[in-house]
Amino acid sequence: MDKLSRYLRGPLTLVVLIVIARYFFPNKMTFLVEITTFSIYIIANDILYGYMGMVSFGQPFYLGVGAYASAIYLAHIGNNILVAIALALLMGLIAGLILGPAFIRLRGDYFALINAATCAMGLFLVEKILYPITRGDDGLWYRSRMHATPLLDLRKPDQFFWFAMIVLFVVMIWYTWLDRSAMGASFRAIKVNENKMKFLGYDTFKIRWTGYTLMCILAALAGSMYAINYGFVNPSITEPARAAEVLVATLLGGAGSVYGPFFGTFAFLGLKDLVSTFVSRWELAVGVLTIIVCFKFSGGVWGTIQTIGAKIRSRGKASAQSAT
Amino acid sequence: MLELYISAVVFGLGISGILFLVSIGISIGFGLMRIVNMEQMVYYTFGAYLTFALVSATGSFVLGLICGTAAAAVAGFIVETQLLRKVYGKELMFTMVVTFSVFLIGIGIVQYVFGLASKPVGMPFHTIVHMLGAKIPLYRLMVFVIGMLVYVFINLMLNKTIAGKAIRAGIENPDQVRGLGINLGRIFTVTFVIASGLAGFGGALNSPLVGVTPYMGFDMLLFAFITVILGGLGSIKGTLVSALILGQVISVGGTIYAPLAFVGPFMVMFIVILFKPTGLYGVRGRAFGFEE
Amino acid sequence: MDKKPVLMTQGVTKRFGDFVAVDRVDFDLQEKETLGIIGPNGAGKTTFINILSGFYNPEEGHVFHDGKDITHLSAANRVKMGILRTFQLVHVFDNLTVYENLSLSYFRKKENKPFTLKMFFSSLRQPGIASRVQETMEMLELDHLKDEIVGNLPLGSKKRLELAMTFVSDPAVVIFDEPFSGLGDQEIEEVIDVFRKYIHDKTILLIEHKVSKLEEFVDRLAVMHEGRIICCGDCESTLNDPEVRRCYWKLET
Ligand SMILES: Nc1ncnc2c1ncn2[C@@H]1O[C@H](COP(=O)(O)OP(=O)(O)OP(=O)(O)O)[C@@H](O)[C@H]1O
Ligand SMILES: [Mg+2]
Repeated sequence: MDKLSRYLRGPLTLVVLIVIARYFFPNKMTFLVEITTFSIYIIANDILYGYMGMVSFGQPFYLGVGAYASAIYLAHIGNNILVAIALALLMGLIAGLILGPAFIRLRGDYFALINAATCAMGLFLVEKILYPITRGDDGLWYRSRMHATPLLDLRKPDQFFWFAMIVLFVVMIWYTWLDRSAMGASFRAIKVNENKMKFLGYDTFKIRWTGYTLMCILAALAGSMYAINYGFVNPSITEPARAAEVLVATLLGGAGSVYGPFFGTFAFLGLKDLVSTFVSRWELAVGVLTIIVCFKFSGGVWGTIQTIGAKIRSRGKASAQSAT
Repeated sequence: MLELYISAVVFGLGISGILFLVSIGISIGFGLMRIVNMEQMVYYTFGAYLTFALVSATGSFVLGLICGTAAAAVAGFIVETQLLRKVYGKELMFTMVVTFSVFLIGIGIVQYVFGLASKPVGMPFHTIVHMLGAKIPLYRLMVFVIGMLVYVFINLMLNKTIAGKAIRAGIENPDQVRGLGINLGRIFTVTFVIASGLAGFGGALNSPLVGVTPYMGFDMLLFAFITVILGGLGSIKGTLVSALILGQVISVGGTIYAPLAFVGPFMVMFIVILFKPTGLYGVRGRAFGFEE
Repeated sequence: MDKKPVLMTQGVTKRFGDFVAVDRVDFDLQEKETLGIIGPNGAGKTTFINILSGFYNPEEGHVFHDGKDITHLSAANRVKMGILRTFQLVHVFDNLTVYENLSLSYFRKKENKPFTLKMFFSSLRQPGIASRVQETMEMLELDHLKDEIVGNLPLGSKKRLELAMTFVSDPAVVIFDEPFSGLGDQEIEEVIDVFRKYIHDKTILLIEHKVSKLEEFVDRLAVMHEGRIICCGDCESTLNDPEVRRCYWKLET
């Protein structure tokens, strides 16, 4: 029982905080849903970057896989939102299984670059080649085609909010678990010393492949949530230029930690919101921000919170000791 | 029909020239400094925009070319001395993120100064040469020839001058060069300034062909990536060979079936990478962290 | 001899360009013996281990394990057969704790598979792993460092951890590549203590620079010089061998 609560406590706190925030700032609900969705996207990247140490400059591609899987289904084939989500997960899985073996054999720099290239390809695909299906820049619109789902009607923003909370809760529990499982430890071990992992007898290729596929599935889930929440999808979701956002948010939160992605997303989207009221273009701000984070706060927001927490605790201990 | 393909080949050669110029910096940067300098395309964009500004102000393309190259080199000098020095020797991922941020900042600056709209740049001359019945713009041929001259020039420099020899030794074995008491820092700066100048030069040359937009660097970055991945990071010869291949794939491939102009390079890279993960001429290292 | 060779090589050769790092080496390691290989810098000792453990494929020759040809077997599969190695430059996971390092090593042994999806569902804190890891930590006096991040530890502790990571999974054959290199006298003593406790009844290949630290443990001694094993036999006869005296001793004094 005690063990179980270890995995539930953190995610539950997080979700409760968001729900409280929703009732205090009712007009910020869209923003909260955005944070929730985006943080799942960032968790995906964190598995890749924070855990396994692989940088990808093409994350929007994987987001797009999920978004377009759901969108194409809803616009052309069916009306069931849950099926749309399942399809997105499936496409994420397939993408991971197929692209994985080709990509993860590459050295770190090649991996980063080939992802960027893939992302650009994806954009081109949905903009031009698949135009009859994706309608290119006009985007796919299917809000009116979505049927109500039982229990929670995902077409309604306030009910979608609850759905997002459930997803976040589940993902966070899973992520906490992953962090403590043998798989999570292997991911982190591979990051610093792949050779040693091999000579401990692990198949590092398959471990990487697994991590990569997980990333694909989670990113596709986030993409699918975007697709359903907005009721339309256009190619801007897979724009390579937006790969930077992902890296920034990951770094900002603190890479390779359970709560880093969420805080990173919160900080990043919050700052972007703030900045965009002053300057219209985000590139400059994002660029400067990343450099500051890289050089000054290498632990990110969550790392900084932890350091401060540790300081307070050790001070508390010290004062307790001096008291006795 | 034949004319069509002849002119496609020549167009492809022109594209190769540009690709080579803009990719060489990424390739050398990796070979010498062990960083993937994603911000090379900032210099490309700067070069193009300065050419645009000068051509519209004075009408002189040559002046634009010179100033574009110079501005790119200066920008490269500032970035190298102020920022990149601090990231040498750090993990590759870190350097990629930092240089990508520089790229974004560069784009932001261009947007701020020149606005968002794309703008055309006037051709310096419209001479057409006839070749086997095909009409070929001399400018494109010239771009190709310039690209090849730069390759020859770089090779001469690397093989004949002392600085070049130091650079080459540095690429092969940085520790040894340090041990010889050569100031690697200065070599890095010189190399970097040359590389960024070349990227700017490429941008300037390309500006009449494609016009200028703040995002031109993004489009080019993709092709530059493909060029260096295909050629092999760190290899100058590889960069040239892959630029030549890709130019033809884009141009001839695009003539045969239009989408190939975009998908073709990607497919070629993908296939090569599958069989040779380090690209055509890349050597060092096998995959993540495999180097002892 | 009534013992059978566990590891054996026949004429293995490894070249780097024109340079022959390991030159037609025939070698065998018997069951339950401790064999030392000494040799000067650049003799090819590490390269030879790299071939034994599956890091490189040799250009010529074969490697056998229990009579089976394993020349082209992957590293992970050799580990599965019980052949473990350490590295000359210490290889541990700096971003994990001491406990995680050890349990990761033992987990593989417990599952006995290079990869399984069970890794998702298994906690490294499960009792079956924890007890064995605890035991090993006590043996190597690492238990007070249990939850330390390895990156913060001194080199001596990291070396001991790396040894512990091999011991924990109780391998059939262990290959140690210069376990004393880079350590201070005090730390060397600690490692030697570990060996004294551990080494009997195990099949072990020990690589060292100098003979002095090995003499105490090894049953047989081999000398490597310029890629060749020039002599192999019991300690005394090896050290008195004329060729060894000529090639190695003059470097050692
Ligand atoms: N990957 C490699 N590429 C080229 N040469 C190599 C490589 N690895 C080792 N060598 C060369 O092979 C020779 C043998 O190296 P090795 O590391 O096996 O020696 P060693 O006996 O372990 O020496 P030490 O006592 O210094 O560890 C050395 O001259 C070394 O320079
Ligand atoms: Mg060695």
